[in-house]
Amino acid sequence: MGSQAVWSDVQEPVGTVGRSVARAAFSRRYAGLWVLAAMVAGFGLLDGEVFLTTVTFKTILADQAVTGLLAFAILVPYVAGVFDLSVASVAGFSMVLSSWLCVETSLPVLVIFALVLLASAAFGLLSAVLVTRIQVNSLVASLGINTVALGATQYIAAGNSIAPEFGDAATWLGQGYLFDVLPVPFACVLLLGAFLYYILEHTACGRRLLATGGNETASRLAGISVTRVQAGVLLTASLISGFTGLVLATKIGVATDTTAPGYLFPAFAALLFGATQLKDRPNVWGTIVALLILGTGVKGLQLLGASAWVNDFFAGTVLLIAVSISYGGASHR
Amino acid sequence: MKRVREVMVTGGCLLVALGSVAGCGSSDDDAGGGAQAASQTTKGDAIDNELKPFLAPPKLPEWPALATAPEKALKLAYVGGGSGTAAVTSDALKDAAGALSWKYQRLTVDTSDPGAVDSAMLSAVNAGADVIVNSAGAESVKNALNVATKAKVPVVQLYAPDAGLPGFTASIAATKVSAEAWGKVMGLAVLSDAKRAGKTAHVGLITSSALPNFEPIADAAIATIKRNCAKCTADKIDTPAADLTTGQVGRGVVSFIQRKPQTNYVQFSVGFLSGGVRTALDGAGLKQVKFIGMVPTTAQLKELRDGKDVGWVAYPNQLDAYLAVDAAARALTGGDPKIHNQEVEPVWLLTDKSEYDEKVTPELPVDYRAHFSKLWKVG
Repeated sequence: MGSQAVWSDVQEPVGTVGRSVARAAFSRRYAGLWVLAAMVAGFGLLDGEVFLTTVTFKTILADQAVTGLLAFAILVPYVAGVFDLSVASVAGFSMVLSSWLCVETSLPVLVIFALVLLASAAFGLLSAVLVTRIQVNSLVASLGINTVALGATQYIAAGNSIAPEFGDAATWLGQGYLFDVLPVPFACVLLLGAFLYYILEHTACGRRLLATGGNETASRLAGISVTRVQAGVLLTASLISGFTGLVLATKIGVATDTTAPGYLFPAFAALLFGATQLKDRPNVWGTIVALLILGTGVKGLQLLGASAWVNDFFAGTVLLIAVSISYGGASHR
Repeated sequence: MKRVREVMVTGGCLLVALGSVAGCGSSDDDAGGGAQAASQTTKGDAIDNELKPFLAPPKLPEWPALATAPEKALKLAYVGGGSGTAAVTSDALKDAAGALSWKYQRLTVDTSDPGAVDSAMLSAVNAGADVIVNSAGAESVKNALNVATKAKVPVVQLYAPDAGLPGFTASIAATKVSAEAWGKVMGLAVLSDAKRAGKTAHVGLITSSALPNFEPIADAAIATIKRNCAKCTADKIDTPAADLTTGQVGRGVVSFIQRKPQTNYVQFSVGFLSGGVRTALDGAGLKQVKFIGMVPTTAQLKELRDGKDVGWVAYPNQLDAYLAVDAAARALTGGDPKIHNQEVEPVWLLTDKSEYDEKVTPELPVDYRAHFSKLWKVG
């Protein structure tokens, strides 16, 4: 009897743990990982010789890096309840300004990069003043900043394609590979992601951001300086956008005023899709999972020879499915 | 179980999507190659001979001079977008207008808004323009054309998809008119380069359903390649419009070459589209690919000098502007304004051996200013 009791005591928790693990593994939060695995398996079965290669892996990461960086630029203000629609245009401004300075001046590249980051931060500062001092809705303020940044970019580019030569060291930022496998721009995504994850999830600063995003009034009553939080996230977003512009400039090698704004929708798509993964709110690793799913889907379809429109259709459909499941799950809770 | 079902439904949807596109995959890969194949399947010297006339800067044809010099102090209005090409066109129009002692005004519009083009043309007529040159799109300007016709203001269209659009006084540099010449030259250049290298040409041509102007150029290049080389392949790379403007053409090109690893040439209908493509190819270790294209940027002129590209067809933007003014001047002096409607653009294929300045896109033909001054009986 005694041994039976012991057996029973041991087995019950193991069964519970097993069920918990299984439940967690198949929960909606991790659905993206299963979808990613299903896509890899599906594309692998359809054309494994072409799809299951290092080139595919490298190009998915390289193609998604800029989108990822911009998604983080949106994420930071988003968790604090602030919209920033200007991130892509500020990245475009940074890209064109850095390229123009490289071609038209003899400034060292590091000085150019520093100046461009400062100039990008000026947009964040302007947004912060509009949102926190003049009390303009962040959506409206960032739309305005978006247009101003776009106009400034067009003024500098004057409709031309600017072809800068930053030199090997700076070009490594956009075109280099770590261990011959990991594109440097995607390494930047992982590094920035890890940093943001630590700040958002494991520091008091992150909790203040989340609290402000959750309930601004309650946060203010709890003693959080909401205006400082909002100004900080807008400034951070503009700096990340500026950095993204530098990555774009060194990655593509030709700067035009149309290049960066086109990344806004993909970045938002990755962020919103990522918000349905791992946690029930926008989060760093969920965004990275979303980037990988969207990148893998587009790459797989391209390798199968799908028409151009299928890519957009795919990205939109995946986003809708993910968000629908998320809302469906939320409504049942 | 419900959650498992959700995951399976999501995965299932994606797999269905995958299955539905699987049939789109091409299976017509031609694994030809090698010097022997090249010598057996291409027409050798005939290709070089056909290409030779396009390797030197072109000369202008002889046109009849105007009956009389056009009236001075007329107003020319240019409706164009904010692109670099529009800026070049604007400068050349201003130059040509100056040669005729005309006044010049530029109206910059958002080319993605067809209503803005109509509105700008109406503004030009109302402001007393005597001549309008438009390069910002010919689709939604019916209203302005009617008003201009009533006011007897000639309207010259630049860069339309096709010549002879109703309502316009003249059409200059319509894509379909010159597409065959451009495509043919690029096709011949690729075949010539492949022959020299002892390879069979396998070409990917960038097109986009969003930009139908690229199609006839690509079609002409494909026809030239297939006509002259039985074992060569040439396939379009259908690129999403968003990728064209965001420097992401490279991802489609890399995927295309992964599917067709024998690809050794990529053709671009406009030079700036190649931004980021070389980087993407290098990153993927696909370094055997050479570029060919039209309308080079200074970046491509440098690449060409470095031997990475086959060649770039220089584009005569300045000449087109002068032709537009010439057509308008003919309309105003009783001549035939449609004289240039069906003229094929002068073609100059720049190669690593051509004489050009890497820092500026070349103007061609070199003597066009003096030529038009003579025709216009000025200066």
